[in-house]
Formats: sequence, C-alpha cells, structure tokens
Amino acid sequence: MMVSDDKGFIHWLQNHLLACPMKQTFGLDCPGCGLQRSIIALMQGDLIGSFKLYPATIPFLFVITFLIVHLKADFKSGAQIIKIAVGFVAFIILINYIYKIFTHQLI
Amino acid sequence: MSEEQLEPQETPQPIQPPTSPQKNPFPQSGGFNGMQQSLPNATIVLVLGILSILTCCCYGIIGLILAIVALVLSKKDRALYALNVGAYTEGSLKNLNAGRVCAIIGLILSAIYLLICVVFIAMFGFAAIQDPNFAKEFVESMK
Repeated sequence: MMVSDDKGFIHWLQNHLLACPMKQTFGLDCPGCGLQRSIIALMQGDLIGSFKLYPATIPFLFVITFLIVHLKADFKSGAQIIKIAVGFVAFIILINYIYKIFTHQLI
Repeated sequence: MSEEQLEPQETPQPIQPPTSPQKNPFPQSGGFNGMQQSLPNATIVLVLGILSILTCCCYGIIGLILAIVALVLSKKDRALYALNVGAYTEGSLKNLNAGRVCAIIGLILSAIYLLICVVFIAMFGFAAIQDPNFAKEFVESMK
C-alpha cells in the first residue's frame, strides 16, 4: 500500500498497523488480513479501494454502528437485523478468503 | 445478585404482553421486584457475540474465547428467564438470542481457522513454516 506523504493521524496509523501473527509465522494471509488497511482506505474516502482490500469492512462497521444505536434506542426488530447482518458479514469473510486461496493472493 | 432474581415472584404475569418498565400496568407493592427488567447479561452477550466474528487475531484464539464466554453467559441467562418468564423484558431476550446466534457463528469460524493452523503445522512442521520462503513455495505449489 502506498504510504502518503501527508502528516497527521492517518499517516501515523499507516506506520503503526498491528502485525498479523499468522503473517509473521506462516507468511500467509489470515482471514482477517486487509482489515486495517481497508479501514485506513475508508478514512481517506476511498470506498472502492476499501472494498478491494477487505470487502467485509463496510458491512462490519455498519453492524457495529447499528449495535450501538440499537442498544441505546432498542428497536423492535433490531436483534433480528443484527443476526442477519452478522451472518452476512461472516459469509463475506468466508467467500473472500476462499476467493483469495483460489486466486493465489495469499502472500 | 442472582440469589434475589432466582426467587419466585409474588405475582408473575406470563400472559402479559411485553411492555417497557415505564408502561408497566402492574406497579406492584414489591417495587423493583414487580417490574419487568432486562436480563442481566443480554447486552454483554450481544457485544461479545458480534466481536467474536473478528476471528483474524491470534489464530482464532481470541474469537474462540469471546464466543465461549458469550455462550456460557447466554446459557445462564436463558435458565434465569425460563425460571421466571414474566420478570424479564421480551427485548432483552431477543438481544440475548441474537447474541447467542452471533457467538455460534463466531465460534464456528474461529474453530475452522484454528483447525487450519493446526493442520498446517502438523503437515509441514513448525520449523518449515517459519522459513521465509515457505509461503512463496506453498502458493507456487498450489498453482
């Protein structure tokens, strides 16, 4: 990923990403690899780049936001929506990882 | 805390539709005990269940721990609810069940991930995996 020249919070984040333990020992991507880069891309306003790096980021952030609102406001069918959304996120994570395996993008 | 909640209510209202504590038409003389309250761990279970989907950290171990904690707490609360159906709000039970489903999904994902790691180590040996060229050779061999 390109490290931008501008100073600031995003620049600081780009240089302080947490290392994936699987990547360190195996050298292979884990099912969660790309999440942090994807969030930074989202913070820079790059929706498509964020989706390409990790497709589950936007739905996952939606789930987290909806959970916070639901716990405050207590929607009638909020629990049902959360259940479906989490299933959807898990499905995306699985499909993304399988896609990565079959297109040899694991390094 | 759980000792008090386990005690049977004076007048349980099993047929009563779910109402928020403010609209409760039966303000019993027992005060707090007569009101419908939310299950004690419903929120925690929901949050832990959702966080357990993040299985990417540390070979799935974190996801496994969060999911198991959520499942144990939800089991406790379901027993509490079954003991005393009228005493808890419907909304908190729904939250609890949603959290439980999320925790089960997280548990399955983490377990698959952990299993893959163990199989990898068993197949290639730990020393071979730490070799920096291992990943490249492995991906080449799959092509």
